Amino acid sequence: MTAAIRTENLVKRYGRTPVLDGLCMDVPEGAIYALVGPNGAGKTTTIHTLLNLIAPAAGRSEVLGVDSRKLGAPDFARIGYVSENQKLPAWMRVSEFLAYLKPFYPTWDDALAVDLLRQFNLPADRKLKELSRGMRMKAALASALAFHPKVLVLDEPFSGLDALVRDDFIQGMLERAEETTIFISSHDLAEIESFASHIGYLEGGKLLFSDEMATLTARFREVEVTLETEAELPAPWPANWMTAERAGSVVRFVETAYEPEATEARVRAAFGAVRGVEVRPMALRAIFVALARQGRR
Amino acid sequence: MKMVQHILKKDIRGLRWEIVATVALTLATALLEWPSQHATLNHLGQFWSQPAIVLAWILLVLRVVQRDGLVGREHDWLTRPIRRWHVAVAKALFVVLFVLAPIAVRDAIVVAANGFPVLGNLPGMAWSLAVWIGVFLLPAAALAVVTRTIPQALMGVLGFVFLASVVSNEESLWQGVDWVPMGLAALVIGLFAGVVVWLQYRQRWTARARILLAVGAAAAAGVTMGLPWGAAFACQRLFATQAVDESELVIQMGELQLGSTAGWSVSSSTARLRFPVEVKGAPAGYRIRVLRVEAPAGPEGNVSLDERVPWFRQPEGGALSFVRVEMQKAQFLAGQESPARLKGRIFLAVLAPRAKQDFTFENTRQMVPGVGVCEASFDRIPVFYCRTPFRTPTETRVTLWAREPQQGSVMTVLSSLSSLSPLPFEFSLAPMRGVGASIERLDYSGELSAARGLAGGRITYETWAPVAFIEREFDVTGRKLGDYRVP
Repeated sequence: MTAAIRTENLVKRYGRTPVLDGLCMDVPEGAIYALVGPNGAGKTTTIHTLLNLIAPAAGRSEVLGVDSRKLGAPDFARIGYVSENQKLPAWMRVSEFLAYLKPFYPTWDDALAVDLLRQFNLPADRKLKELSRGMRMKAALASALAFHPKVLVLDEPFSGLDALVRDDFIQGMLERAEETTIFISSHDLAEIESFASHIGYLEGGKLLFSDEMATLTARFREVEVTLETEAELPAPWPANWMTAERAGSVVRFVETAYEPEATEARVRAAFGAVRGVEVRPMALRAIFVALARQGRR
Repeated sequence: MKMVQHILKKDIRGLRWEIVATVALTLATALLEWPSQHATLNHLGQFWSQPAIVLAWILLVLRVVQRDGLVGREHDWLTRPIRRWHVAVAKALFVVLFVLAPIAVRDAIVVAANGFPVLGNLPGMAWSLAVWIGVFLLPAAALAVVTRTIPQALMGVLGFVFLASVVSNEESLWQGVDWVPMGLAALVIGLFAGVVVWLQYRQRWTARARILLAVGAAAAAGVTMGLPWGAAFACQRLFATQAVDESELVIQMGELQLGSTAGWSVSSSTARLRFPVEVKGAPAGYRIRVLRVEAPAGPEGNVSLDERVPWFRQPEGGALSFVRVEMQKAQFLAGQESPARLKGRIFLAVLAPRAKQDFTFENTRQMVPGVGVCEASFDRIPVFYCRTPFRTPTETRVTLWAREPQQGSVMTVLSSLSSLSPLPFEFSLAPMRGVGASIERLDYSGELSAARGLAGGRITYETWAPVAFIEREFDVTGRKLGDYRVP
């Protein structure tokens, strides 16, 4: 599968602080790739570098096979972008905004634009500055979908939106961008989990892992081991086990390379005789909380 | 071009009220230049309206450029298939249509209304527009492309105004050749601003562009304040149009004319002296203007202002100027009986006679070829006033001859040439440049009234134009030093 978005050893610093530290990432064509990570991880900087809004200090990135530094008008005709901080021309009415954009996009679809307005309940004659934050995000999304983009980049699109608007937003995006590669950065793991096909975890400017969602959720398990007696944690602690906690004879940790038989075998090898081993699947949120805790250690 | 038009239409739609207001204001300022306007009202109107209209133009430039801002990463259009050069061209067209074109129309209206041919004044108009672009519009655009908001850009404008006011304080030292440092400064700031705009639309290197703009402003100020007088004068000499025999020119210590001591502060420890330096021997009918006297051997010397020696009191074929010197009182007291000796360097402009025209004085507006539209006012202070488009009238002497039986002349110097610039344009916010002079009573002893002695008399206009520029060393002696002390 070819990559719609690719970064190679991308480095960006603000002063002496590294924000991206050799970021390597591939987003397969057709994927819905969620880039997640704590605040300050470098998600927005990654997007800005991808879209040639800032220049990297080193490394390179490309979108749809074009070096980001060389992205020009013809390339942006295939890329949609919606951001929580996007400054739309507030003085324009919604209909004026779409009419203004139309001539710049050879693939602009009037019927789709009208459909999107209807679907998002956007008042065409209202000025953008008079819209609520959620409505403005929907207007931005409509303007980014109406030309059938090959890649749709969304930077924290759900932040500050209420649940109803989020649902509208996600539903509209998924329905109207079936053949589009979607690259989304978000804190909202619960929402991401419902539709992302791939996920990348960024921390300290480094991509700690990048996987298909199914593989990720299959890999992570919460394991609870009940020992026969209170005992010390085994040393050395296995590299695939994170965030160990002990309460009396019960030890809990997160297995990051879960395989049913192999995991149980590794538990018995590490602890010896155990009274019981309970393995529970983890929600995406729990996985990232564990990763974040591990990162802080 | 289609996309440029599309962006331009968007800006016109978005800024239509600002456009209407700015264009209306621009055209309204033509009324202040209307021939029927009283000169005083005209000055008052210009004093308030011209800075306001310049601010309106600057604001319109800031607004249109920041509509599609370049600073920051949040502007929607940066990730749209919109070519930056299309945006830049659309903004430039907007400024041409709604700032430059209204200025040109206003100027043409004013020129025509004042009885001057529009076609004949096109060079002045073109220079005027070029200066607007270099001094105001490009720097405003440069500020707009390196700032996020209008208040930020206005802070930059304030910075420029402050710098300009500091720089223009030096203007009086230039004595007519000010157009050299000012023109250089305008060129430097215009060029830097142009590069900043180009750089931002091309690369969006905001930090570098900001530094470049600051460097440009500093360079423009540096050029103005740091340019040696000699360099400016050398530049002025390139525009000499006539060879003048310098051998007859004599520089000597003039007769004592102490007169006013305005501008002198009194100190108990210093003695202030004022030496008259006289230049003689210009060809018949020619006039000499002392531009500067440098007396580096002693304490700092300054040329007295022309108003200290009224132009019509200047010797025929020569010039009188003063060098002001401060020295330690003790030093003065020790040497006050010794002969005064002054060494230095003098810079002169030679003015050749151009025309002498006679009219019957009717006390109405009068078009005087080569001078401008002239009129006299006899309200409280008798004033003579002439106006021309884009630059002040050339050096002119006006003589009013009262009719019989109160024969005699009432003379006024209309204009001691304020700029030696060879360009058909002098910097000013208004299209018409006026110069006025209060009327000096000379031989005429009657009431100075248009209705009584002067109407029906004769009026003579004599004009001179600068043709050569001379730099000479001098070493002159006079009476004893004590005779030159300012009381």
